[in-house]
Amino acid sequence: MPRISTKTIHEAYKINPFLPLLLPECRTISQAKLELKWINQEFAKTAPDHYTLQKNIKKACIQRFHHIPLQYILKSQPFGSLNIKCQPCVLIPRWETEEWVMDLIQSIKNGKQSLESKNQISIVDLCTGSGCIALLLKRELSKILNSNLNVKAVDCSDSAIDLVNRNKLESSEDPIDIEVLKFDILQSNNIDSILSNQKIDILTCNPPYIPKSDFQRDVTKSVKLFEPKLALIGDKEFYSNLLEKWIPHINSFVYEVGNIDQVKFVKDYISNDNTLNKIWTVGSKYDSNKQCRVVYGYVNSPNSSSYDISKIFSNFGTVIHPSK
Amino acid sequence: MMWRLQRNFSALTINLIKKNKLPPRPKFNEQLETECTESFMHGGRGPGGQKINKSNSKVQLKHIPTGIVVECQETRSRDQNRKIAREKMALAIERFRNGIEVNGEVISEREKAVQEWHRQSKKSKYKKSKQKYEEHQELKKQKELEQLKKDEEILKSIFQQN
Ligand SMILES: C[S@@+](CC[C@H](N)C(=O)[O-])C[C@H]1O[C@@H](n2cnc3c(N)ncnc32)[C@H](O)[C@@H]1O
Repeated sequence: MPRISTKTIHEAYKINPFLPLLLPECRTISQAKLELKWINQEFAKTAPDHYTLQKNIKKACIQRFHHIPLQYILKSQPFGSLNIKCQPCVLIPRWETEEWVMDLIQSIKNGKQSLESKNQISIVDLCTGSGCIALLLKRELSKILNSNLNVKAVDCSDSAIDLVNRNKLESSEDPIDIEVLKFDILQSNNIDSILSNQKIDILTCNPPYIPKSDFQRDVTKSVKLFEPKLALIGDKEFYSNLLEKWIPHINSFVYEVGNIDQVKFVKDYISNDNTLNKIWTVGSKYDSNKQCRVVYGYVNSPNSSSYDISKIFSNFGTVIHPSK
Repeated sequence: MMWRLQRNFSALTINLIKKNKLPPRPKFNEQLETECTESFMHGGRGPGGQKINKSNSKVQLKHIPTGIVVECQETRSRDQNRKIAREKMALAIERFRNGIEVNGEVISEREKAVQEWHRQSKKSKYKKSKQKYEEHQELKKQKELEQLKKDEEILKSIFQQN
């Protein structure tokens, strides 16, 4: 990345003496000003006096100078209507994730009649991290659906489990009732404890998807230095895990991806399998930055059935299997 | 006589703006929603996702029939920015359609009333606030002086690192 010019540093200093500290992460003066405003607003909520406030702001700016993520400093990140608490050792929710989760909620809203014949809807979120996906789905869908909504959130990291439990209570005004389970989905062969006796209606997952070979080259400093590798590094294993272990137990899935190869991997597996390719439809979805972001799939329902999961995906993305 | 008095009284109150009787804030309704396109700007192409943790995104709203464009990246919350952008758009359209010109600027009826209200309430508050203001200025000067010293040190350290 290009070095910031001395002129820009001077200009920033004239506006506010702390501003130059924010330039390495923010790059432009206008972004730095915005960030300083947020830091100010957030610390003003708790500082007992002007002096402490200034001291805290200064400390935060120095931390930013050392590439500590803003969300770890402010200890939160808005996610839809929630304010998700953030802490080191757990991944910070991304806007890309927020975007597809909001779209999924809208799609479910549009197709909700097709779910209402079932009195219990079950959603499982794997690799839940801070719990952002599971919590937002639970909160927004319980406003929309009449059925009972059972949401489970799964992660293998102790820090993540602690944080989800906090976010159940603190990310919105009212507590959000989801089940939190500690579980290593790649190691354990026994997924029964997550399954109840009925099929999972929607399986969501934002797995670690940065291939090891990309890590040094593509990942920004702040992520590389401060976010947990357990949450970032991975490739096909979580998609294989979906196809080998979960597929028989679910009616639909929505998985975030980091590149188009991961989409192709899922699609090819299903279209090359003579049983699966008749029951499953697979699609992909791009984010608003024009990057491939989601692979999803659902079972085709028999014509007569009043329960039809395909309806909630009708405007969600683009179908890639079966090909037309 | 009595009748006359009442009439004069009501003539007087007409010009006094009441805060709770302002023209309503313009609303962003269903129809506007269908007439607008929304886009998000994130600065930079890149692969995004888990590889970067930028905290905010800019929302842009474009009203197709009039070509009016508004943007918002004021908060860290995308949800909130989308709401604010819609409020801005409703106001921009209200100004465009029913605006009044005041001192060379087109503003909505509500804004005109709010201005008037502020002007009226300012007059009475002016005296009280003047004294307070002067005290505050004195304090501020002192603080600035202290701050200046500290900042100098930070700047020095940055230049040394660069
Ligand atoms: C990319 S983060 C996603 C966090 C969150 N869902 C989000 O979207 O912000 C991936 C998460 O998967 C968890 N994880 C990694 N390997 C796992 C495994 N084998 N079993 C269960 N969870 C795992 C990590 O602890 C991390 O919290």
